[in-house]
Amino acid sequence: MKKEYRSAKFAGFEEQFRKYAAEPEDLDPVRMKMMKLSLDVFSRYPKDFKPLMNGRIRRPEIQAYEHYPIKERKEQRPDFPVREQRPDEVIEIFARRMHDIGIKRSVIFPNTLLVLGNYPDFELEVAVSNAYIDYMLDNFLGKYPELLTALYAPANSPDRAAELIERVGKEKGVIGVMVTPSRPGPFAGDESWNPIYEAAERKGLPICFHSEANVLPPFDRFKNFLPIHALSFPFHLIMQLTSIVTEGVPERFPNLDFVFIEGGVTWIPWIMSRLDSEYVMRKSEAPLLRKLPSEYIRKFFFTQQPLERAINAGHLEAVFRSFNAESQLLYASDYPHWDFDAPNVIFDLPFLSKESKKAILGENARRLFKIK
Amino acid sequence: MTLMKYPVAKKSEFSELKPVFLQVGGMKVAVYKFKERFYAYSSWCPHQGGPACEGIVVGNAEAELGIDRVVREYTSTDNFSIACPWHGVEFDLQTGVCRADPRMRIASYRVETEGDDVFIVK
Repeated sequence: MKKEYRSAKFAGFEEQFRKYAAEPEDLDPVRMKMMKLSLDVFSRYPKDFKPLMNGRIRRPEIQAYEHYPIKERKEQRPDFPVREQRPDEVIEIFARRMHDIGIKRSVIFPNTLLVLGNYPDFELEVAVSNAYIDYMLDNFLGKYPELLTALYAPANSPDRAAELIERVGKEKGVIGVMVTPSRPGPFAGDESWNPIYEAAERKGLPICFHSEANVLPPFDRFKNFLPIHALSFPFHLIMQLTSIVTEGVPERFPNLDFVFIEGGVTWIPWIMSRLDSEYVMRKSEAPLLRKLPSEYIRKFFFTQQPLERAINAGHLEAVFRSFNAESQLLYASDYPHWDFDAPNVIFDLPFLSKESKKAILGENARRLFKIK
Repeated sequence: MTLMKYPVAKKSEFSELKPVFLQVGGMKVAVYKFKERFYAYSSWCPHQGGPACEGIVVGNAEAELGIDRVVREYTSTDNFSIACPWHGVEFDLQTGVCRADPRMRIASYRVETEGDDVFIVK
């Protein structure tokens, strides 16, 4: 196993990557220093960042927050395990937790990789993304049917991302291509992303943009986590979606599906309306489009988490109707994160039919990801 | 309708701000002692159905505006809330009303005492 994951060895400087790394003690000290520096730059959370709000959030599974301050975790869990758990232990805990909230099968996304797209060393992203999927294939995928994942595409290096998609895109348990929306370089509508889309199209895999609480400018100017979290998730998605639509990716890749994850849903009609208005006036700047931006967006898929509170009666129903939620919305839990949604956020919505709830809570995902 | 009395515990068995749990008609209920008074709430969070009263009781995070319009934030030692452990949603310990959105509240129960005994009446 050591040899297999050697390609990711220089990722091992940081606790969150340790499980994918082979020999952290072998790390090149210069490279390690650079990595630490970049980590400091790109992890600029507010000074008194308290993700668990001084113990207000208190759940046994909270230990999964590997990136949370160790002191805060230890306060919650004095018995916090210090050793790595074996795959069978991980899957046992995982299945039990999922069962607790009524979920039989999950598509997981590698949370600890969400910041990777912002590291200045693109080779790191390539190495870790390969190591991650190899680790999952060797230990979980295909062995435990309750667990599926999307491969992480190192989108800063589109050709290398395409190679990875070609290499593992048809492996059992790999159901999509995950891309983090916050990253340097051109947005996802740019033609430089074509190799990723071509490879995903060949393998029949949807492109899944998984957003994050990013503290890069301008979000680093907020005083605390509430506004950072409220805005950064949907805004990163909005920027990538806008680029994809206005630069005509759905026309260039008509068979490719897109999923936008962890931004809630209330922004969707806003961007539909906003882009339609601009398009009507400035059609000449989006010559590839053959219909209104909102018509392309209605073909995209979205996840609801964290589902926003309705500001008045009928609000959420109108939002759901705007993007055909019955067929385009996928339930996502984000469990066990602090803002996770239990399935009842969908199940309790009074305006959805039983069939719509069933579709959103599982059937839409089964269809999109071709899960048997 | 006949009211039922559900014995909770002896007064002497309560610690300040520490819940004592019991089942009342199939519902998990928590009883708190605070400044010589008792408060009882259903441990079901109206936000997403979490076990509201299994979370911590915490001094309210409050803020006051000085005459210079500078904000001073502090933790209250007079007012406390129950924080649901699932998402941290806070409910006032003395009313059960959600601090952020008063349209939400945890269900409350009548508490009575007889001598050293504490009961919920329902």
